[in-house]
Amino acid sequence: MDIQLKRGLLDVCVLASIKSSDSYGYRMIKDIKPYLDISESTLYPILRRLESVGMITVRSEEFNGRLRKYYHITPAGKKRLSDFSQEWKEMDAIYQYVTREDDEGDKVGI
Amino acid sequence: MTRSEFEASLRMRLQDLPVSETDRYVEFYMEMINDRIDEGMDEGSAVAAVGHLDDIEARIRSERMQPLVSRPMNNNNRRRGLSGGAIAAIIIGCIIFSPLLLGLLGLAIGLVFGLFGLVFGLFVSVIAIYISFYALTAAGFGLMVISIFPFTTGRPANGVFLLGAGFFLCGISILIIMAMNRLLALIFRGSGRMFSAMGARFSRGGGAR
Repeated sequence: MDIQLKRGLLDVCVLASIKSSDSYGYRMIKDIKPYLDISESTLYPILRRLESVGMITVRSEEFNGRLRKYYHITPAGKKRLSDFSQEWKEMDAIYQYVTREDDEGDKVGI
Repeated sequence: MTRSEFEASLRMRLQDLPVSETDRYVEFYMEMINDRIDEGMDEGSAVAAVGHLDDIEARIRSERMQPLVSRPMNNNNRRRGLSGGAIAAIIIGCIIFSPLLLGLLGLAIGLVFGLFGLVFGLFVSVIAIYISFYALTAAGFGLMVISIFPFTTGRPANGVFLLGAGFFLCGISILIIMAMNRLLALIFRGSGRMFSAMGARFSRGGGAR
């Protein structure tokens, strides 16, 4: 997959992983991994970036005698997810155009 | 590798970074390792699962090279300098205020020429005073020369008087000429400084535009 596309999708996937409830780093990786390849090194800059633009907030909570960071989605993060849904519809239209059948009935671009 | 070894190695590799930043990275990776251990993974496997230290370090360093928030694309296309509205406002302002600007310009030119006139007048006066006191010195010498005749004609009192008057005129004139030399030097120096300061101010004003 194209790196830029993957980067954009990872941002959205991270937001989606905390859409319904707050989560922590390792669980995010486990949740996203079935759909996109993600590692700790990839997740860290995404979390920092999303935090810096105000799409997520972080809080520390005690767990098993140590502190664990929990991430919470903000209204700006939710808006990004709804924007993504709209963008995806446009992407789908582009996909349909790119992969339309030509005169001989072959799929173009595949 | 144990958790402590991983932490120590990562800290050592990132020792050139600010401490707070290193703490943040180490804290993040340690949390990942601890979460795996809490899920039942053994310590060695949990440490290995977060990745090789070389990769982690390279990733951190490349990430630090990138800005946290990318700038909007249209920033590059933004025009620099004055907007069209500002240029139009300046042109209209120039037209409206042109009588006032011309008056100010006339006043400035008048002041400059007035100063030139003042300096020139001072210079001419000093020259005139010079000439008159040189003439007075010459007259003093003349009196000294003339004082010889009363001595030869048997009127020594008149001769002494003329000689004294000649010495007096010469002495006074030489003293005044010396004072005028100082005054002339002061006028030259002062006017030179004044005009160079005016030139510097003018060129600074032109350079700022």
